[in-house]
Amino acid sequence: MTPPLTTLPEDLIFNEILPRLPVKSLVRLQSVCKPWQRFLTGPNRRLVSMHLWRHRNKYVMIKHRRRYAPAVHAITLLSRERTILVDSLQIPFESHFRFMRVAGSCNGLVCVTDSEFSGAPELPIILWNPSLRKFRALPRSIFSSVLNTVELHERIGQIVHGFGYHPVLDDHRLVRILYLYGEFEVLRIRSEMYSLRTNSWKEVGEPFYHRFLDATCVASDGVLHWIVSSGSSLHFDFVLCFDLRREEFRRLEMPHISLRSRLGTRLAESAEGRLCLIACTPHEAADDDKMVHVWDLNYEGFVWEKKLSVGPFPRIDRLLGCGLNGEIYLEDKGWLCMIRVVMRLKR
Amino acid sequence: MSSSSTTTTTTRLLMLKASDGVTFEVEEAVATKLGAINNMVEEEGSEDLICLPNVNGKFLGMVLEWCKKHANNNTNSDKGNDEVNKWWDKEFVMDLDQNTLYHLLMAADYLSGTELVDLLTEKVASMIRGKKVEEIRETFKIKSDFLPGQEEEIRKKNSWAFE
Repeated sequence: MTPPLTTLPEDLIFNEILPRLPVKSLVRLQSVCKPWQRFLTGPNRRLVSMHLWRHRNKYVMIKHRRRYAPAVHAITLLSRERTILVDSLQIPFESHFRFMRVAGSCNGLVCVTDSEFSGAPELPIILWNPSLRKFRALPRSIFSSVLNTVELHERIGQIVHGFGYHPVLDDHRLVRILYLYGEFEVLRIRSEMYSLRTNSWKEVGEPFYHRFLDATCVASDGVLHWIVSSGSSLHFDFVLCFDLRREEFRRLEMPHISLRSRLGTRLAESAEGRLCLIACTPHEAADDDKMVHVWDLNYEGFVWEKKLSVGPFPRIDRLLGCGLNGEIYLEDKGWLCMIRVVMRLKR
Repeated sequence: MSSSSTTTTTTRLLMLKASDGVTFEVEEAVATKLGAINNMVEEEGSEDLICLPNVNGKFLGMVLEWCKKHANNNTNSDKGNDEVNKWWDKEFVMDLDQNTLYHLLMAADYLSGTELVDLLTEKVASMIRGKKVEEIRETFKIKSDFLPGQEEEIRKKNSWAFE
């Protein structure tokens, strides 16, 4: 007969079993014994990376307006697998901001700052880990001091942020673009980058001339993306890209969209980690109904590939984002809506 | 060995000998689902008897049962098999008692049966998910080595996780 085995080796417990548990359990398990506490609280990149890998692409986080007072914003966590609401999160320090904005999120870290319109570069930027309920303010940036940044007769127009992760550098980085307006509305653009690894800021190269259009940044494959415009009509829209490794800006043209009727475009990251673009157009038959179109970016050719067109849908106020399992998230008068496209998308 | 019949394809058989002397005759394709066996076969080539002094016959038998199921289904490229495999895996781990589960996991880990380790560690994780700290100490036979007050302090610091 085999002798009874009452426990498992520490190696198996630590490296194979614990990374499968949710963060809340891991926090609780710190009080099991000292070795567990050391393992769970120490600077343990292996546990963190295994945990992230096991739980990758499981959730979708959506920031939206709350329907009820008093809080203005709500963050809702949805499970990608089961399409259920997992959690509704309270945003730390919401009252510190004039108009709170999520600059981006990756690997369970959320970067929260003020709206692009506040024009106040000194407002805090907070890195928030909602699952550990921890947050920290970033050190003051180069441009946070207005005196160093703005020349005489200039004023700060907008400040746009982008937050992403580069797997090769294993670094989370935040990019900040400032739009400075001088006399006769002459535009000057400056940009700076923060690295979590070095916990420091540096100025980075100037982007192409553009006017900011949508402050939402989407990070995918170590590159940050924003929809911007270099002119007054939709013809001039393009996607501004910032390569977090090369630390330089690139330009990506938009896919061909019927310009007359475009109601809204949005970038999103698909479940496979690809960049995709969603656009909304009115339905030909009834203007109140809307069609939704999705493209995704073929990185090799740096070209858009059309994935689908669905609709018509009667109730769309705003596109929020999508998961390429076929879910498209929308806002309709303060309600969070989701369209699930039944057709499975081919890669 | 050298049979003249032409209809049977030659499937090489391996002899696996467990710690208690029990031997198993298995097809190479089944046994090489296990990384450790695969390495031995590749390195030593012609060796047909493999001794596994760290694995008891009962658990080696169970590991091989799992391998056989998964090796068979792999040759069939039918998509529905994926579902069948999942179902079979679920049944396989469903009624395991803790002792058997631990032994089986140790055996699978020793033999580098990665997919089986995955299945079994997920089972252990599902057993401790949402359990109280005291219950987890019991599951892994761990004694708390905190000084009086230390544990309370940790709990207080992370009180939200205990809600």
